[in-house]
Amino acid sequence: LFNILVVEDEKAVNDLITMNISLVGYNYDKAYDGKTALEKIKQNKYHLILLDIMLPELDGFELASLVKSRGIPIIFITAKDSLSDKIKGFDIGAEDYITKPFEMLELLARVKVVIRNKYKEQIFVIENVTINLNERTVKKNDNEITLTKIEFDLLEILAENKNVALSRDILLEKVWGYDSECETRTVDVYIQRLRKKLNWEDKIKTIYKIGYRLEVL
Amino acid sequence: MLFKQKIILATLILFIAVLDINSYIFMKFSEKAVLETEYQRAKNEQSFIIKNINDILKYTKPKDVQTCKDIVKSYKTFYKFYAEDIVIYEGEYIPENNDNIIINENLESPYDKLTLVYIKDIENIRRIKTKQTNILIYINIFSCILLVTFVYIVVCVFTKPMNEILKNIRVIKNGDYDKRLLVNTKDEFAEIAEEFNNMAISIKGNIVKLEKAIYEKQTLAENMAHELRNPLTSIKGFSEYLLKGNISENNKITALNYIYSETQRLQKLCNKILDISMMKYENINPIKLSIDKITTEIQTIYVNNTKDIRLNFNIKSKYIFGDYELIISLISNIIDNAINASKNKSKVDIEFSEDTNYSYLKVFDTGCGTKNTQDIFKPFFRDDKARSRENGGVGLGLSFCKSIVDLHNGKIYINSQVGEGTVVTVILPYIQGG
Repeated sequence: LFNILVVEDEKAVNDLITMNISLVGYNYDKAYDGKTALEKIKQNKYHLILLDIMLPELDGFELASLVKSRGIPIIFITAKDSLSDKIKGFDIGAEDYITKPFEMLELLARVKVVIRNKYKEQIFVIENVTINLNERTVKKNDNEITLTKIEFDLLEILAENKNVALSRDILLEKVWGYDSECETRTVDVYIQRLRKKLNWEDKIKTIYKIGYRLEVL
Repeated sequence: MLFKQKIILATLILFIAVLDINSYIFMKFSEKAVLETEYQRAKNEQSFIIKNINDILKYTKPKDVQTCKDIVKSYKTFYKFYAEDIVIYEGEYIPENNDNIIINENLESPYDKLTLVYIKDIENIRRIKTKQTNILIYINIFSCILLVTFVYIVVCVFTKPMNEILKNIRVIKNGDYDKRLLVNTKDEFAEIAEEFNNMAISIKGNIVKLEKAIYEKQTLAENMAHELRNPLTSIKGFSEYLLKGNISENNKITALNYIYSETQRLQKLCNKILDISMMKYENINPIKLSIDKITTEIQTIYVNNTKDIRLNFNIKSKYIFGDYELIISLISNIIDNAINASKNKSKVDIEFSEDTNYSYLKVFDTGCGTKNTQDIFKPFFRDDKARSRENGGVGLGLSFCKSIVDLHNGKIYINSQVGEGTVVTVILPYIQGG
């Protein structure tokens, strides 16, 4: 399990981020100012820091420079979106940058990309199903289940965003590609096939007016 | 054309014109005088010659014209020193060109049909004239060179400050408004330099003012964006979370609570911003307000404050002049700050006093104090971000107070010791006989 430190002085935004990342299965810790964050980084082990720039006591850039040597990847989260700030962030060694207000899926996708690049996470385990991204295999109770390429991609995106509803349009875009001429009905067909193959009729829920959600508690 | 070239050219033209006209007139006069002298001499010589010829003819008495001519011809060499040529003509001699002095005169009878033509060469005079012209040309060339050199040097020396001024103006034009012109002469250039320096100083002043105004505007806009974006991020994020997340009932309530409270914050922010911007255009009509009435109203607002803080009124004045709503707003904003800074169950002192010209309002607290007694009036400035937000502040309270005080032509300032407390003083004009 990955441990993420969220440094954001705005309590509401901090809660928003932590509640979202805990949905998809990350552990989190909170800090509301730069100094506390620095103490926490010294004491605990984190796999990723989500860092606001305008912070009391010690601002995000200063904090990032101070903990640079530890090699923890950092994603800046801030209301500042000027180019010079972005460049400064990347100069300090930020992995990525998210500007407020941000989309939930954008936040999760960026966190996922950084964690996957840094820690080469290749295996998802959802209850009795193991998804190996490297080998592109899926096992249920050690029995291999054969999936087509599209079915595997669909399963991957659902697993990455577990507990988050994904619209049919998003799924179409992520799995079939931007230029796909398929209709959203195609998504329904493939979802049906996945449910059948994995026996996940109750896990892949249809969310009214939104799309589908892989529910794992 | 450059200033220098203009001066040199003008001087040169004037000089040549004066020199040449003078020389020309002088030459003309001297030529005329020489010619006259020469003519007079020729006249004398001619009369001497014709007298001699007449005498000779009287003695020799030649019979015909040809003999006459021969006799005169034979004497030609004799008179060589006096005349270029002497010829006998029947009738008048019309000269082909006018270069020589020619005098015609009839001989005495019986030869009065014949004319003696006296021709005097004035070649030497013409030679002198050519020589004079040549000398004049040399003088012209030489003095022109001398003049140009001299004028060039003089102009260079005189226009040196101008070059300095030009060079420095270019430097200043490129944005270096701290550069000053230095001219040590005591002429118009020094005046230009001084005026120019004054201009640069006032431009610099204006630029500094503008830059400050722009900086303040930008900071205000940035702060406003920041203040707006945080609640927006929360509202948007939590509604998306509710919409898409597979979440527990507890988390649902947390999310909804946040959406509600952040919307309230936005509303509060909107109201405050509107209040402040309205304040800038509004004109108030200060009226006599009873301080008793004001304190009663203030007491009802704070009778049940969450921190259980006691308000202590010390009233040494009866009236204050201002707009009732705004004065209440002003005092309650200051008291809000005092309460926020104070510990539970402490007290806040409020003092009203006056002298002949001003009313004074002082609010004392024993709270945490601040170092930022100037910045604290700027919009969105927060002395302690986290604490201020928890109290539901939007960072506009004191900025709002300052607008109210400005509108009343008053003054507001803060004295504070970190950890010991703060005194906010408001001074409003006291209208005599109002």
